[in-house]
Amino acid sequence: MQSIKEQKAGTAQKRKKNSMMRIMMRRLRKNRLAMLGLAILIVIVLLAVFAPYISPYDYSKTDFSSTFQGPSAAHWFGTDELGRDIFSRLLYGARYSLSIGLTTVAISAACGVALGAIAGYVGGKFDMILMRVLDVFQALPGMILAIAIAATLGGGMSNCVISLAISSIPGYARMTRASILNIRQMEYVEAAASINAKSSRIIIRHILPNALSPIIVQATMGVAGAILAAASLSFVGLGVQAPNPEWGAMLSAARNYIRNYPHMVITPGVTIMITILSLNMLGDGLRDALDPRLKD
Amino acid sequence: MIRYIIKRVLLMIPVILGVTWIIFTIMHFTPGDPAVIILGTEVSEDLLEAKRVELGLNRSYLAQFLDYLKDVFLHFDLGTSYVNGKSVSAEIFQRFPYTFRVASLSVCISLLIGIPLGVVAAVNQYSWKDNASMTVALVGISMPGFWVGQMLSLLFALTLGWLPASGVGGPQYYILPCLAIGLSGCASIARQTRSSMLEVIRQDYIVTARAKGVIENKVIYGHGLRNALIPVITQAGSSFGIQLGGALVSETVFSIPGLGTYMMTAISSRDYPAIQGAVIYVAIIFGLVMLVVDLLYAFIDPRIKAQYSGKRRRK
Amino acid sequence: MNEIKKEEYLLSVKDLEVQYTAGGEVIRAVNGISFDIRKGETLGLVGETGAGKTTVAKSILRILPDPPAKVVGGAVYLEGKNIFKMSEKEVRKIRGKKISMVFQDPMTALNPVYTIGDQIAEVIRVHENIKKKEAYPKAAALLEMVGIPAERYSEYPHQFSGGMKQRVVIAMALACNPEVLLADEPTTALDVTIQAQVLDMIGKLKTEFHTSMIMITHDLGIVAEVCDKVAIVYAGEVVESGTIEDIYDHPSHPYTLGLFSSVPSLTTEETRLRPIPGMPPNPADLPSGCCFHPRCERACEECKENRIPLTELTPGHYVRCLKTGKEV
Repeated sequence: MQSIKEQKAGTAQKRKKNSMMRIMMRRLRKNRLAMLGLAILIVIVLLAVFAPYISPYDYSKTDFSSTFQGPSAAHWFGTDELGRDIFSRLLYGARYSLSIGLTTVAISAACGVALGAIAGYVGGKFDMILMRVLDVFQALPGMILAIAIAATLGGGMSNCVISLAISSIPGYARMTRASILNIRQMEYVEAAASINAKSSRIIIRHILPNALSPIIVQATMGVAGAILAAASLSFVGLGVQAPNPEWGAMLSAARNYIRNYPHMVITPGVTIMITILSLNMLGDGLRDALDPRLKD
Repeated sequence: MIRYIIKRVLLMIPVILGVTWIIFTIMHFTPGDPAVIILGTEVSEDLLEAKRVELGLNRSYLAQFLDYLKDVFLHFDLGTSYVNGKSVSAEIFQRFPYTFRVASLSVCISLLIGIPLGVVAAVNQYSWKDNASMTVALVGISMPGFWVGQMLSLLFALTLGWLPASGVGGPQYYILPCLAIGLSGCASIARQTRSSMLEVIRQDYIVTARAKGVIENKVIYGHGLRNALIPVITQAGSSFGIQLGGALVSETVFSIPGLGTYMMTAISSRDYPAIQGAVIYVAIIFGLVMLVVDLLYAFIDPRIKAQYSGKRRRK
Repeated sequence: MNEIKKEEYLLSVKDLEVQYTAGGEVIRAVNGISFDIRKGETLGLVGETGAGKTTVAKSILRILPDPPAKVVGGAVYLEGKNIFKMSEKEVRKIRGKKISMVFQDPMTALNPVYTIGDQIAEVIRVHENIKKKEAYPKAAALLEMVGIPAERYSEYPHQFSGGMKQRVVIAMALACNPEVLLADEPTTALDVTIQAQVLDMIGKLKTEFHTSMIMITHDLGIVAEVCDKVAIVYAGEVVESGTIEDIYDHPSHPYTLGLFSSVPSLTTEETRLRPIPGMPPNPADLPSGCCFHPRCERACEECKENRIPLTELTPGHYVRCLKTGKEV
């Protein structure tokens, strides 16, 4: 049974959390760069979702009579070495990239935050062991760990996601753990404990909301990083492979034709860049909006 | 200080052992028969079995692991390639310098360009200098390194012909790869320096320095930058790791005979000892680099130094 | 207001106005503060947090953070010359040498990556243009003077406690024998026993070097111990000023009276504290007329209309109130 005081404190807390969200949204809206990033991102997502309706050609249909064509009215971004329309392939490639990005972050954030939160709150042996394990995983630079895991698992989209997710988990775990350790010793948590609130209540009500902000920022940047890493993996032959229209794979296939047909290399790269740029702009905006020190 | 160094080195050992164990285990349980990889599928079963015995594959997992450990750490022998029978260590030692050169030069470029850029942006916050440099930095971290390599190669090598497109040799061969990889590192260092500087400039001790009559330049660079660089150093360490990864990927663009191309070939030909050896080697190198970074950190920040040399605070 | 004979006074602040612009709002931190200090005099600037006292001190040295803060009016005369009209180079010569400042929070006032000795030596080297080797003995002597053994020259700030850090800050401020010392709540962050030591040291300055001082504080006890003159600041204005005797024996402004009566007595028995009712005004949205009127028991319609001018009750004792002299 909640005491009246707890109820009042709870509603006050909820009100506070709501207004915190509202403050953050307001600040975010003011940030033009972030809004631009969000807009671009929405466009890309829509293009990916509606690719089957928008793309002028079947992305896998080869046409040996019109290979290596530069940009034209018929093929906006030209054709590749098998006569496939590059624009259509880019549209479908967005589906790969976005889904890899989101899935990777979803998995690694969920696992990482859970591990870090438990370690941070419970401490003791579990914490120590987790830290040593993370040390081992972080002894290798992220890309190399991903390559190593992908090398053993093989190519393909799900293996790509798994290897990227595994190499991202330590980041979230450490960040969450640090947040939790920091917040744990803050006085308002002591205050909650002193009125005999249950551990889980303390975690959910007080600690998590405050630890959430850096995680949100990290997740946004994480999607960008995952898309970049997936493209790199495909480029070296480990991720999504040809003939799938993944952007990195397209760049890899175009490698040999760069001298004579540069359009094959330019467009997928620019597409990757714009996607990641929009995510980074949004991520920056989120970070600034969530920073408690910045005045309104 | 010595205590700190020893402590850190000791800390590195279990980590490296852990990495070795994990990589070994992953490779060990990957499907695929090494005997078949080496001898091919056309060979008789007896020969395959003999090969397996020769490679020690019939022993227990633990025995194989301990043997591997002994080989790597006592004899510096990372095994023999399944594909061409050559010593993995020899190949790696011969190839790694190229990769290392590219990665280190890239990090240098990142620091030399990134730090001043970040400082200028911080000191002129909200001005066009700030917005321009941060926009450039934002774009910089959004471009895939290998693609930048391709673009630079397209422009400077294939179109303009100023620089070679591939291979190694004199310094001109390193310019394009290092620029390509260093660009994104440059951008992230610039961003980190900027935010670090912004925080430092607001500190009370900066106001104190001004109140003493110190010249503004010395306040910003002498007092401010020295403190602001501390987190940047840590960033530089992980940047090295990222750029090492980038170098591995970009070697294919520039046909550099380094560790990257070795690993990629090994992966496609299922040359597990080579993959294993390369990864463990990278872990050791990276560990050493982070050790140096940590030492540098302790050297620059007296608070860290004190923590490890055991000086007590006296009232 | 008396005519200011600039030569008589060492430091004169005249009608200082400072504003902060943040997020589109204009915050009027200082709204026409004036005071004068002679050589050897100590002025106490008393007021609550946020009244604008630190802003006044930082304006004098021109070390306000320039994007948000801006001096929008007034002048500060040092030995007759207006500091606001000097070039940056000239002001730098004054900082640390003619006027120096002791800051409120010793924990953050020192640079963590330099030794305390070097930080003291720095102010000496800036103004006397000597080599590090020559500055070393001078800095060491200053350390001894503030009660820190000279052997600790090469130690770093994190190795010292708050009280000792504050002494280092004081040593830095005194290094070049300034004529005016701006002490911004130098003891607020310290505990009472250390407070006594620091005040002692500051008192020695008066007697030995005849340093003029502005002591910014909200502690009336410190003011009584150390100051010759007092200016009570509220919402960026001086509401009452005069000598120690004027203020402590004949407090006249309702705010001053409120301050004195809120100090609990050690002698009589009391069960409740007597704070001044209400809250300090929002500097972005100051009340009309007299800034104190929302909290004042004597307030009337006239008090809400126009800005109240300073009236001279007795020579040298000024009050900004329409209701002084009347019985409550």
